[in-house]
Amino acid sequence: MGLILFFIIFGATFALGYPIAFGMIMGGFAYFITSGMDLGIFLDIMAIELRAQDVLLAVPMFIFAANVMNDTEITDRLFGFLKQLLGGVRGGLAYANIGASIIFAGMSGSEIADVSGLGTIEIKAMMDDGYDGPFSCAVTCASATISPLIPPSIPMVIYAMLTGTSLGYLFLAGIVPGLFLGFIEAGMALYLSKKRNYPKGQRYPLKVIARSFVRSFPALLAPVILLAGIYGGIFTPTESAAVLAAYSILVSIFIYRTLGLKKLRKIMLKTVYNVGAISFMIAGAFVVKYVLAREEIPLLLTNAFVDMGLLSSAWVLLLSVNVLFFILGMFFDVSVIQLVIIPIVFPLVRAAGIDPVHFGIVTTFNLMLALDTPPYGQTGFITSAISKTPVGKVFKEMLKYWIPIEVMGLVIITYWSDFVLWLPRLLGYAH
Amino acid sequence: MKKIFLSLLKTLQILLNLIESWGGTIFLGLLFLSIFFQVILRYVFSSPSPELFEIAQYSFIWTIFLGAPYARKFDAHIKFDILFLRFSRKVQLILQIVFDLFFCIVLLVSLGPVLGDVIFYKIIKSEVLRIPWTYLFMCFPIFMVLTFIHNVIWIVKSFLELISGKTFAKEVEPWD
Amino acid sequence: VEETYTIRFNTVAAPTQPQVLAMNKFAEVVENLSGGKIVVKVFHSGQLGDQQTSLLAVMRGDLEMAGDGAPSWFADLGNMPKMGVLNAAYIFKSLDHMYSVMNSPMVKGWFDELASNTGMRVLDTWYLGMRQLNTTEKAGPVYKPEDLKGMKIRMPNNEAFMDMGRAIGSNPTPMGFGEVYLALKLGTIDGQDNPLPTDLSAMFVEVTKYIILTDHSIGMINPVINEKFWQSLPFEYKTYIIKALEVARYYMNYLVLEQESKLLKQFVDEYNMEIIVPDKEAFMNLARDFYSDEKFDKAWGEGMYETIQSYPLN
Ligand code: NA
Ligand code: NA
Repeated sequence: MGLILFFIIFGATFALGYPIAFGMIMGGFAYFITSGMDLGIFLDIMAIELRAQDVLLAVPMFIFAANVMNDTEITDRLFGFLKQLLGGVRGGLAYANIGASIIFAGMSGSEIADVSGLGTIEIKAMMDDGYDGPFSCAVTCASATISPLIPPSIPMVIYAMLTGTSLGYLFLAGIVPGLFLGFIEAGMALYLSKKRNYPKGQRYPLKVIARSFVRSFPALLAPVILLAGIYGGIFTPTESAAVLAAYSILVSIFIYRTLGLKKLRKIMLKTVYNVGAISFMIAGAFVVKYVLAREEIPLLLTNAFVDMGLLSSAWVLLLSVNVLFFILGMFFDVSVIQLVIIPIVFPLVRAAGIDPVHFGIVTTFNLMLALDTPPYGQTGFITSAISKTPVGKVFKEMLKYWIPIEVMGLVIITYWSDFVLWLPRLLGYAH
Repeated sequence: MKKIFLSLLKTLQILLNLIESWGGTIFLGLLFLSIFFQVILRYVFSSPSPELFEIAQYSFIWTIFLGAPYARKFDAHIKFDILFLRFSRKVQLILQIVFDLFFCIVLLVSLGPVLGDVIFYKIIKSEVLRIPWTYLFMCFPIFMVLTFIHNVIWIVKSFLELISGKTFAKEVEPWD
Repeated sequence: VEETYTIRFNTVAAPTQPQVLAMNKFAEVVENLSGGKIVVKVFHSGQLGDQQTSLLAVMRGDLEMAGDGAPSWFADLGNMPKMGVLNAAYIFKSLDHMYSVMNSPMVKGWFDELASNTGMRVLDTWYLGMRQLNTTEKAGPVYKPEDLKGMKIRMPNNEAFMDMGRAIGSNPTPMGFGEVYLALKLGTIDGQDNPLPTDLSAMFVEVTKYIILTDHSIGMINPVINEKFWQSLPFEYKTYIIKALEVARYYMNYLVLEQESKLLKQFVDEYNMEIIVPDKEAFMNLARDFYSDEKFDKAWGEGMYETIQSYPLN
């Protein structure tokens, strides 16, 4: 009875556009009341338990770092450098677009923010240089799916928190598949540029490129510092988020001179606002997780899968989970699916002997890819609005060229676990 | 009636803004500084600080629970709006009022038990700084009250729009 | 008609760990004894809350039983700082000594006090394993307290554990459990301490070189039950539960002791570790000095550390 009420209320508020985290609380409220529980439990689940999830401290810090970089021109300079470096080659700006995502995105906690922030700069630059709208948008969407695979990455922080998997190894595991996908996408960009005879952009003299390199060097150094600091044993992956924020603040104050006290306060305010929306969702999802666990849904589901014989084959399980995530991912926010679905399917995944780090990479990429997919591919809508290209044309370009190669990438990541786990194993991951 | 409401609204919003934006910023700053200096203390000075670890943990939840009502003010919480956007404005407003009312009731009914718990937790002290939980977790009932107030403001706004047909200006985000 | 009772029993441990196996054993025995009138549902992996929140849920009655109670939690949650003494380094001389103390009238009295303070009753004490120091190759071996000087040893961020780290002469570093493996691997920290089964299950054995048999603390968990629920049970049901917990305790203690006896050999053979027998006397003396600080007398009661240390075996 309580569970049914929970699903009705959570489902109705969700479907009808009320803030998802609030709907989770409202559903939980109905469940707790009908189960005769003390409503004080909200405090335990949403605040006391949340506080003990140390790895989550990275979420507000990555958001903070992202906001500093975007508002103090660090991101702009980086893209500017890539643009000058690659602009003269055919399809050059497409490569710059992909490269910028690889280096910098994935820390705002929202794919949407990445696409509308960095994406706006990228699309504008590409269209100014004579690339057509659908292509510019599609490259931006496709490259945005790679960014959370490569650290920094908030989806991985959430996955690590939910499953107890080492964030450090998740960060490592995403690098090779992320770069690999970047190369595939660059290949597609090359093919389309030749086929459609896209213009070469302006060729910049070496001196200008060198100057721009020097100017963007501190920005380029950021990911290096992040990785070297973590894998050099100076700070933990969780702490790395705060170090990245500190680094961006110092660079923008002392080197770029683009940050003052007033601006810093505004950036912090914006971060509080982002944290209020994004991290609060995690608190709300804890309520859902609690209700489902108390009703033993994960156990029931595992038993059902065992009865159907699905757990005997990791191959089939991975396929079904991928399909499930992909379909949900087309409609729902990435963090919502992660927070609600992963606690349910993770016991299945473990029971089938699938490696938790590998699975983390599979789900992260799957969910990002689903964001690109019509009919409700959110990235498609945003880029279409930025570029004033009809959304149908963006989706057509996506479906025809980009989604197929990404699905191929997903298949490789899913079924070739050694490929994903190669780098972590090189650094001591022994599973 | 609308005038009184507007001036009341203004005073209230100034007060809320003070708590949410300044409080939120301060705790975000504390969170940042405590993690950052933990790294410095451990790596450079080899003397890690359990106090900083704890400050980070609690600043984290204070940032979230002051940030959540702050985001509510701008209607910035994540939602699924494919269906919602297809409804007429009138239906949208009615839906909002119904849900906001329901959420207000949830907050109101839960506030008592939550406060009871928070006060009961006075006997529990934080592990390092020995601060009673009552103070450390007060952010949660504060979040409930602030969100309740924002919700009431939204209800009144939606209601006024429903009867007058005039839309309220969107809250301007202070960093734009 | 007799009523049926459902008990939800939560732990943070994973399904393969001894505490979950013991909890399953408890569920099985209690159902048999009661003829199916008491149904125990075991929730592993912290599904209904982490250690702290599951204890709070038991206190409030939203959860019937939790498996992760321990003196350090009770000291905090029950506002009974004196219980922290049970978590001090070298407080127990042996497992038998620990059971003598835990079954003593004094500690039983503390448990009654805890029940009336918090609404949570301690039902039993299970052996979780001896905590041993464990350092990386880079940090080097430890034979005596001086060797630990300047070493960053990870401890849970809890004052009682930080004190335990200080008591044996280390430089305790707070860190979340999930980050310990990589931090050892990368040298962010120099070592950690845990019972041997944990060193294996968390794979710390892969990233460290030395197991130092400091025996500095006997880890225990105390299954707890909501007091109101407990008092509402018919007398014979209480007996079934106590009996079933006893069976589970023997099972758990057997599993842990058996693991401990096999693990050292496995650590050496499979993980190429080195076992070090340190100057335990020196560590114990250091701990005694450390706990003689008046801060501890104030929290635990005058001379409590020595009173318990010298409590007779029964
Ligand atoms: Na991009
Ligand atoms: Na990234």
